[in-house]
Amino acid sequence: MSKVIELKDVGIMFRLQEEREATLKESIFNLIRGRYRYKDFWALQGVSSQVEKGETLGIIGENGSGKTTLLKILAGIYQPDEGEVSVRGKISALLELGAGFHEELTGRENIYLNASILGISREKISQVYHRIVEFAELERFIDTPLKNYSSGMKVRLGFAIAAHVDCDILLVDEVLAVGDEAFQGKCYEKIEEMKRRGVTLVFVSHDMNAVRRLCDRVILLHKGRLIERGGSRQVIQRYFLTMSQQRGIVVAEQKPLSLVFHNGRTSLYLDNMELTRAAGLYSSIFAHEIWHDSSQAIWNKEPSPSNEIVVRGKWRRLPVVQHWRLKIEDHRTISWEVDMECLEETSIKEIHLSLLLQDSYTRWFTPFEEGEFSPIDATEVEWIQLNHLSKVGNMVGVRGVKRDTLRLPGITIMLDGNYTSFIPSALNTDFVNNSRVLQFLQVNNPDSTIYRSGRYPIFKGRIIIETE
Amino acid sequence: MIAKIKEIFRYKDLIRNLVIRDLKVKYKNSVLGYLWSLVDPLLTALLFIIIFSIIVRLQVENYPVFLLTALLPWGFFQSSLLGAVISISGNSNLIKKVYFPREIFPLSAILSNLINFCLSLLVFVPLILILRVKLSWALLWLPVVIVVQVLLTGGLSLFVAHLNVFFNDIAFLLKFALNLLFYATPIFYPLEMVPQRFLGIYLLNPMAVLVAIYRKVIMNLPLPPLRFVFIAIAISMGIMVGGFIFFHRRENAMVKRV
Repeated sequence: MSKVIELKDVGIMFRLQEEREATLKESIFNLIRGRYRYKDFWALQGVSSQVEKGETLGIIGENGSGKTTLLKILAGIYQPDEGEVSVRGKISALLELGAGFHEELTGRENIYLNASILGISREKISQVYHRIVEFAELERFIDTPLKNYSSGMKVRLGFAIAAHVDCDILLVDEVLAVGDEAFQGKCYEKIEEMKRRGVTLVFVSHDMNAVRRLCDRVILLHKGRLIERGGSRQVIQRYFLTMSQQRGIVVAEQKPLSLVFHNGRTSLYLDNMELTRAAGLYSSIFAHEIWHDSSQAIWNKEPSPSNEIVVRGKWRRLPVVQHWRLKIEDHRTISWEVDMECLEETSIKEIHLSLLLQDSYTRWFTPFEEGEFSPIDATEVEWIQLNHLSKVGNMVGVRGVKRDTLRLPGITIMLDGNYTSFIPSALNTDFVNNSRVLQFLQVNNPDSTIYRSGRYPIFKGRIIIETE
Repeated sequence: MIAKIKEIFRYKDLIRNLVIRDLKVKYKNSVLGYLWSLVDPLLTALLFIIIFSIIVRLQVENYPVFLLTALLPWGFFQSSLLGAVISISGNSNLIKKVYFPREIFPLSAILSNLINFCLSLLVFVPLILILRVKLSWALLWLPVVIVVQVLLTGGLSLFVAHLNVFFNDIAFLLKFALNLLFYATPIFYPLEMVPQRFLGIYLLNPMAVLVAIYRKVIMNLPLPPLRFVFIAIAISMGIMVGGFIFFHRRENAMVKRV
């Protein structure tokens, strides 16, 4: 195997004007005043990677993370300000829909124009001309000016040209998304054919399914830095984590655990593998004869250290606020405290706090019982209670799973000694949520359902993850 | 530099396409089409003839030919630079999305004007026949002068095309500078009218020397002192090399900014 692309500590800086100096006048004034109004902005920094011949590298990251800039460096459009880039082989790039297309010219003329932009001679492009037209399915429109083409037709033409150019390395930016599904399929087939021929591919996309399908390896960029590399599954997982962080959602992290809080639902990750499912960790209040889930509340974050999530959520249809504090205590322990604040006198019949887990978990246990989770039927619409509520303790958990390549840690929720009103239980959800549940339920006496306005500490417990 | 020139050569089809596009755009929707490259300098010449031959009464033999031998190369120089100055900033869309040697843009601006220029030289054929200008063997040097002028124009183009990406004013400044230079070049007056004591400075303008050489080549008029000819050629080559190096050093900053 030979390395066709090598990036060593690549960085590129853009000088952003705060007020763009479009004219010499302003620029001279600024020089006289002795200051330039600009900010140095490193679009990429310290990016190192290698791509072997015939390999497919995916580049993922949110908008503005530097994906396209990196692709442009590979294409030779930008030179890095730091580090080294070496690219061996002929490059064909599909960076943007219709870059270099001319609206007034016909499809045929544009094929030749585009080829010339890519540095391909007229003779060479003539040899593949028919294949390009056929692939793009534009036989009938090839002598029509491009301005009459739909955007899908333009993508087809652009992709067809880039894919039929004789090259060693193909760079593809987020362009395929525009075409219809049938054509997308055709593009992926073509890309796979090129891979078989030994063409190296670098692929930028937001479509994680495409990345999963095509890429041998993936790198994740975040604010211009490479923060994760490896197999597509692992990197995509990490991508979703950073994505949610970006959306003002709260994340607590302390290796190997991380918690992602998202509007009243909390996902739990161990080494970037999600243990939870659906709403994950959440709470619910039974009042006015219906359940009000925490995912329906309006949540605000409060300042907290990086291993803690402190949030408060106002229930939409109840005068109730819950304060959550989720803290990763150490590599295996998460503490969870919930206070409830009633803004006015409220009648609440039941409260539960639940942890929804992957359905790969097979066994549950309490201090007195242990049992098997029954399979979740595709017609099941009720949650099924599994343990006997008569024999309860202060904990409930699932056993770890070791099966083939699957490794899931055991998880236990322990209730703090002072909060004995909660009953632990193990359940199966309905088929939609399709999860195993560890739940603490508090059922208030029918004659004491009234909460006066004020703040009550209602729950305190620990979630213990049995890492090996 | 050699590698770069080789690379540029690989993109010859692109240059051809750009030149053709330039020419097509220029004459689009005009009745006379390519003939404009002849008619335009002829009309300007007619204007100058009226002013300087009839009103100012400059005493110059064969004034129409005399004028055109300067007006045509000047037109080539001027429109090349004005085309080149916006050639990078005007193609930002392409430059940011595809890699190819960026010199191609100023280069193709010059090439399309060169083609125009060469076509317009055909004007001389009937004029020379009608006005019975005596040709000499010096005519064989014509391609050499043109090459020198292309070097000068090319070097300057690289400078202005680059700078205009950073300052839009360069295009305006250039227009003004070209206006000044027009009068500092012996276009509508003979070189002999320039006072002797200024001649040393005057002939540092390579366009002035080039115009004088064009007149030697076509009309067999006397050349300025040879050392000025060499200085002009040296300046032209220097500007070309300087422009090339400057363009390269700053290419990355330019692409980021465009």
